[in-house]
Amino acid sequence: MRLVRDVPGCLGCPLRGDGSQGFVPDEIIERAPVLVVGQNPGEQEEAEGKPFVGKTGQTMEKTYFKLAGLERGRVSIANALRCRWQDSNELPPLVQPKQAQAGKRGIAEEALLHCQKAHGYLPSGTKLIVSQGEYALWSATGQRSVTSWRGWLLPLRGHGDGWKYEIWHPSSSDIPVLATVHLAAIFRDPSLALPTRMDWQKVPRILQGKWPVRFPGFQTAPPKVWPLNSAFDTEFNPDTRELTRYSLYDGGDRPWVVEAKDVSNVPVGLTGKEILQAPPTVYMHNMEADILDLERMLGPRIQEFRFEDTMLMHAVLWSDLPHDLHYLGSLFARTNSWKHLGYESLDYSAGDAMGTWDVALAQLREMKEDPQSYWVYRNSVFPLAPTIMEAERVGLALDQGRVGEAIQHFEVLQEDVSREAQAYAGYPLNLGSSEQVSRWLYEVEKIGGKPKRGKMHARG
Amino acid sequence: MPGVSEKELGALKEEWESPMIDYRLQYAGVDSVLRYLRPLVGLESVHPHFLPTQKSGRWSTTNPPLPNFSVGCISPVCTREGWHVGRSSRNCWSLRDLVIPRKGEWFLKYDWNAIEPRIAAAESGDEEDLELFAQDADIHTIRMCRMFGFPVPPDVINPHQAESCIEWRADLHWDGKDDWRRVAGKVCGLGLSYAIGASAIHEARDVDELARVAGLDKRGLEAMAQRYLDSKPRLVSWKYRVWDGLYRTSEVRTFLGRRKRLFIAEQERQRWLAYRRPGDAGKQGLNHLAQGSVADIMNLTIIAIKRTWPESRFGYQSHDGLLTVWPTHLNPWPAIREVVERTWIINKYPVKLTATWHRVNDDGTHEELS
Repeated sequence: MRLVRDVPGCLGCPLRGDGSQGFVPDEIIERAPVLVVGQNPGEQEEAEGKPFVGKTGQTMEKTYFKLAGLERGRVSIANALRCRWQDSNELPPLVQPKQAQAGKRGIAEEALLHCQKAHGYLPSGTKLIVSQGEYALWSATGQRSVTSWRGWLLPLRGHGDGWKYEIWHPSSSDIPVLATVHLAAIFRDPSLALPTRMDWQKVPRILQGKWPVRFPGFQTAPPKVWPLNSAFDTEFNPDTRELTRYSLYDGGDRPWVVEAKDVSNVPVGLTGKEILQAPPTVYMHNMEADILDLERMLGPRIQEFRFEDTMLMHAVLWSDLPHDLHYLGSLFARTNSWKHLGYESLDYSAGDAMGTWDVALAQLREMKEDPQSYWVYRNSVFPLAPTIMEAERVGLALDQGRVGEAIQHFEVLQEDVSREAQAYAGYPLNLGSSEQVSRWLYEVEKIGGKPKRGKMHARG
Repeated sequence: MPGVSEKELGALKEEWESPMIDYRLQYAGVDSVLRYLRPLVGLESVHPHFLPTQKSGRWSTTNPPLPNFSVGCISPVCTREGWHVGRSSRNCWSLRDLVIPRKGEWFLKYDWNAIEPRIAAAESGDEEDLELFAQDADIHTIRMCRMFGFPVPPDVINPHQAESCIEWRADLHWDGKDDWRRVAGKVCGLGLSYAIGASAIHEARDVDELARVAGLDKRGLEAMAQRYLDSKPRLVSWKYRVWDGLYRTSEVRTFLGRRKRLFIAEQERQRWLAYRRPGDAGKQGLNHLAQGSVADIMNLTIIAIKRTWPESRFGYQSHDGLLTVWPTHLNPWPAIREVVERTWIINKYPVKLTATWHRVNDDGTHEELS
């Protein structure tokens, strides 16, 4: 085992300690198209001096490499940090609030930059980097949140910030970074397995240029007639709730993004006979937010339309997974991420319509394979929407007399318990202050640790 | 330094005793209620937000989370002593009664009685329980008889007062509805229908009451729970059938077809295969059969009410109950019972639901309907 103290590049690293931890170099395969970056070596990796040879590495090879069409020996494997800190699998948190507040980098960030500078090497022929977990993501892209970026592509750190303002698509000279979770996280939370599998399945599609599809832009003039099948979304001013614009996509070349000033009664265009044969369908994600504006646009003929709500569909199909469009887009959308652009962006609106369309088609395929779920969605969940919307709109009256009395009741309770706590502490301790309570419990009473038998009494 | 969040303090409380932990937990609990209450000052009405995104399939209510508000009376003029359920009246009310009918409207509330145990009885083919539910029998007393090997009382509906049960009561030195053995039947029956094993008794509702009246410690409670499970072989074997299926397919489906996909850790699956010891997924699967079923029964009932009485309005859903809003000129009672207390066919068994009903008028008066 090679020790950090024997590796000159590790001098100056804030995690170096006494240098007695093992150093695990990357496994570089020149001309391999994919570089997989993990967090840092585990115990077994340290002992063998090779990355990804422990439990996580075996899972990666057996399950996820297969999904990605990769093979060990033909893919470069690296770690964002190349040693085990303090001989444990723990690492200092990436985000350290005090340093972040002061505009400084935390110890983990300093170490990641140091390690990258000293040992990072991008093999020739690399076309894609798969970053697993937040350390690898930050090291490669400067982004911290795997939850926000899982399943999406980002450019390598320092390769432009166009992605902040547009639906980013890598050019032929870019080496994109695919964000995914650290595989060890799946051991703790098995519900991450499904999105992670889908992330790895994207690898061959990215290499073949099949995903993501380049964002085609949008048209701003309203459609002449309403499309037979479409995905629809609206943006509104969060303060005034007034409609800002709507977006629409029918599976064609480009979506529509229409400003509120151009919103008019869009002709349905279809005859009654055509509608009887196949009613026009509108897909929405969380229909509640969009349906009233749609009603204004279509007028009474809205009765002839059929609606599907992708959020409700997903809630029935996958009750334990998130149902927001950003998450579903990371699984099913044809384009790269758009939600980070913010609702002011027109690309964001176009992305919402295209994303809703892609998500709807994927959900409907899944529903087709499980007619019972479709029955539940169609009969037990979807028909409730108008009833729920009415309840939200009308609301429930409040008894202001009782509100006042309730507040007084709980304020008295709070004062009582505060007084008891102060009497116990012997000084005016503020029970609402996490810092003061924490100091009392952990410093004055010295509670904590893990007593093996029976209950332990505090020393206060 | 470790934190002082509710979760962290809850874990700490398991191992350490310090009054400060309790003070802080109480303070934080009250503080979270106040955070919801203070923004309500001066508002004429609240407009809660409902989303069908609970893992159970139930609708969640936020802004404010009315179903999470305690039902305990907090009225300053109430003359009743101690903790008790607010009666939604002028002098006795809980946080949930902050919402009131507008002038010209009234509330109709229902709560299904033991809906989850009824579903479990049907799913497991427990014909005795189904029969008892159908007769509206005192099921807690009969369960107690099975647990302790006592004879079943001649009158299963009112064993506490029926003349035919005088001898039965004398033989058992029966204390009536509060007899500790009946409390055991009740707590075990309600707490263990969908539980993994006897240790789940510690999470059962009213378990502290059982420990007190029966004088049981932790082990005693578990022994009592095991006694109940031993008296319910059909229930137990049904659970094993469910677990067999879900560990094989990673999914479970209610009688109405609602599916839950389970994300099972490989270690847990292996433990089931090797030792037939279910883990978290086993618990989630059983919960889904109860809660997922109730979620759709509730949805379909709300839809049926709205179709039959379009002028009615959804108020909010609270666990197994619903608050509906009605114009004063419209009174669906008792016709609505046919919609709410209907019979469902579950695992080929007809399961008749019953409910407790309340009416709240726009002058704050309140009555139980029967």
